[in-house]
Amino acid sequence: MDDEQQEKQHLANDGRQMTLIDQIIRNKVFNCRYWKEDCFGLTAVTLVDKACKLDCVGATYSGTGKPVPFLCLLMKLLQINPDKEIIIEFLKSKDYKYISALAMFYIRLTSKPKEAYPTIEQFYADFRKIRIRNLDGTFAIWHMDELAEKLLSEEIIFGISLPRFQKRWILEELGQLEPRKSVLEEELQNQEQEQVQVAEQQNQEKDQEQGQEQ
Amino acid sequence: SDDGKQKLNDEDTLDETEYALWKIRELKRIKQFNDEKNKYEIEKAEIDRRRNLTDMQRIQEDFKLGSDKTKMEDKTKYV
Repeated sequence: MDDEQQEKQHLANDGRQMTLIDQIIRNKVFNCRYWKEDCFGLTAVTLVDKACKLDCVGATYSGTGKPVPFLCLLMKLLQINPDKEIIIEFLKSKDYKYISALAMFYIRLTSKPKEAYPTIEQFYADFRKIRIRNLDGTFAIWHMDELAEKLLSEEIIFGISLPRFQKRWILEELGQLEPRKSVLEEELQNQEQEQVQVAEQQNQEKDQEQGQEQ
Repeated sequence: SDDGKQKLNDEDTLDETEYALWKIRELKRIKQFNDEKNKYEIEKAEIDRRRNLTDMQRIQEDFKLGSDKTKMEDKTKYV
């Protein structure tokens, strides 16, 4: 079964997963060597081996728009459409950060905002380094939290257009989401309390001084 | 192009400088979120206020702000 047939079959099954990536980019992936050679007949299990070897995040690069292996595997994930539990296992992987990044991308593309926000926001507390490949072929270093933030706040990332999400506060207003609790929240509250205490002490000292003067 | 890959090191050190940098990013995120949320709430309050005005009050306000219909018509005149 060739790629186009499989794609049509998925469309027929209400999958529509692969159409999440624009057609121009999709065709580039289908025609690239990595897709034909390494991604043929992958399942959710065998895909893990390939994903372990990833060394950068990105979509396409150079003038002709060569696909990065990361994008090929993302397409494969969209094609095989694995269970949610498998994706969550991918997210949890601690040794291989690029698998987490892959799962993050997949969740951003396929889930509803209600589920995507909390799952991706877990990575706001994660400051592991990842190598990314820009559209012009150059490399850069980002951190996981930066990637998570960009996924949630921007509409286009690496030239892939992401499904539109409502802003977080609107979902909070509708009661679909709980307010986000940052890891730093406790620290901030403690600081505020300390500041209040210090201010109170200063006020008391001033009062005492004034009392003495009078 | 593969040179670039070798130059950039993506091994995690997880030391204090990394943590400090992350902390700055996180604080910025929180601040930006709160700012945008406040902006939205102010706009919403303004819309509510406008909706509660009577027609006459609204026209007067439009006139003051210079967004009333008479001025709009001037713009679309043919030469």
